[in-house]
Amino acid sequence: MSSSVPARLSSVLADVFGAAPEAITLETAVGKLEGWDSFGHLQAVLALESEFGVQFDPAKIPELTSVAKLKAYLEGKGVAWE
Amino acid sequence: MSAAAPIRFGDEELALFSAASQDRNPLHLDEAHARRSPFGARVVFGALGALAALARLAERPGQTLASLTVEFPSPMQLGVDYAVELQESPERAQLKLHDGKRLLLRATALFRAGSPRALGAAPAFASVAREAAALAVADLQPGRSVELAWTPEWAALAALEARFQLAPRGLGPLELATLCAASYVVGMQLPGVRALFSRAVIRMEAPPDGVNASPREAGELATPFRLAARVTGFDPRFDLLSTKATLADAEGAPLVAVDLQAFVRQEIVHADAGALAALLPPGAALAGKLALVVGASRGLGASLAQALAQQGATVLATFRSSRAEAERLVAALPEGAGRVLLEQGDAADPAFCAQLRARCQAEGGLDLLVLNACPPLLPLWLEPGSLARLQEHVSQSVALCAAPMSALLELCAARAGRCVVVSSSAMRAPLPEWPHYLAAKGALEALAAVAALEFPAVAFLVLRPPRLLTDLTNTPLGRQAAIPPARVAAATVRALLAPAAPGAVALLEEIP
Repeated sequence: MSSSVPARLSSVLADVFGAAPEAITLETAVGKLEGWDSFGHLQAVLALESEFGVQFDPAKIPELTSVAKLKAYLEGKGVAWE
Repeated sequence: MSAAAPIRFGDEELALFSAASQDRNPLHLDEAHARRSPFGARVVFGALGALAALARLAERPGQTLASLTVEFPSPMQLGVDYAVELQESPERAQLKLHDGKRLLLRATALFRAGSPRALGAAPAFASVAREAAALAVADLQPGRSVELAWTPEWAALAALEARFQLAPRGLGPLELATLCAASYVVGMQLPGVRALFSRAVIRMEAPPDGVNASPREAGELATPFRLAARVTGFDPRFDLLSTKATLADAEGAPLVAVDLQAFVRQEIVHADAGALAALLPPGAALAGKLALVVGASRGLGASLAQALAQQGATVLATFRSSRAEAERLVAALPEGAGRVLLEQGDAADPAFCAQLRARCQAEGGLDLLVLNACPPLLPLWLEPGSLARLQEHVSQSVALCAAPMSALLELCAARAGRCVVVSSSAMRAPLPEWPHYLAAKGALEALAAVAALEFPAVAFLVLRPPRLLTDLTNTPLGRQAAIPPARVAAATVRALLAPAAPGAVALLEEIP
């Protein structure tokens, strides 16, 4: 893994999916983590929107199928990791 | 972590929960209504699923529920065995219901020291409207609220308690009533009939200390409850409704606060005549022809029936249960269109197909056979627990195609007619969780290939439409990238108007 998942991101996703934060890696993806199905995906988007104060484009949401893609999308929305 | 015997829901539990909660949302109770939902069949009340899972907790003497968060990622069906998974610690329990790999329900319960509150000596009953509100998206703006006197139906609640034995697990009548009230608010009020309940966060207020809080004995519940609910948000991207509800006692003392989340199913317009006419100008190219569309009341079948009629064909339109939609299809026919004649029945039943054959013969013969009917469809993984459902789906799908083929292709051949078999774009680009659907569509395509050999006078067309905006896909995520059925219907009828080689199977995949 070239870089790690920012703590704020892994903490939100761990919370949504009821997983341990350590279980969230950049490779974690839809269908590979219990609860990350289409419903979980939407709950994750809503939780990330609320955590980071951004709005996801609904047309893009189905494409953001991994932690790496979510991270890149949030960065594109101006989210900076500490 | 502990596992336990599977949970299976039946009519009896649904009826009991419906009576207790006064939630009569037809998605749970009315098979014909549920057939037109994305789930294709009745689903279990989410709150009932939560109660059944909570009933599997170890007993918690000296504790009572402090809060409960419950989510419903996938619908629970009747008559299926679901695995329950529990993780318990002194003040916390996590509960999950699984259908194999599929997560159906997830809950986290927190407990505190204390005991569940008791009912007053003679709890009052408040009867409420029996019909679910039918609020549409436009009605669901923040601030919209309802306030009413509400109670569970106490005898049914007691029967639920007897079934689930929740009191030793820290859930008394108030906690049960709260899950009932949450279900009632979502299923009957905000938004009512169009609800897909997705999430509830329940916080129990600590009971008043001492004797001053109420003239009643400390901790006893004064009924009927005051139930208030208010829309706090609506996200139009996902048709997601957020509501805050509170339950107070008869004197107004707060008992419970609940945050509710529900998706709101949109209204599907079946067979939009205007949209179709814009894609395919009405004409008389099929005047004098008889078409039979199997599964014509809703979705693609309705659009196909309409498109054929708009080209002048007489259409025999079969449907199994959606009479209102089928009648709307007839009513919406523009002037100058061919007749649409409705036939209600099960196309998998050879007797019904024989009846259709006689009807076609009475009309002078059959030119076009369109095989569109399919059984209800929910995703499932290819795993041991889903085998029976997979086989059932394939068997029903095959029967819905093979029975009309076997009864009617002969007539079609006599008129050098055409036969359309509705498959799916998923045949080219398979998806996980649809093994039954793809196995069935593969079988239908195979039937078309063999039928083309056995009835060489008939020209076959296999449709592989992309995801369509129909009742089946009418969920917030299902709707994404779904196209209106009218587009496929227009493309299909265009293909049918062009010449075709008898005995060949053409494939229609590209939908303009």
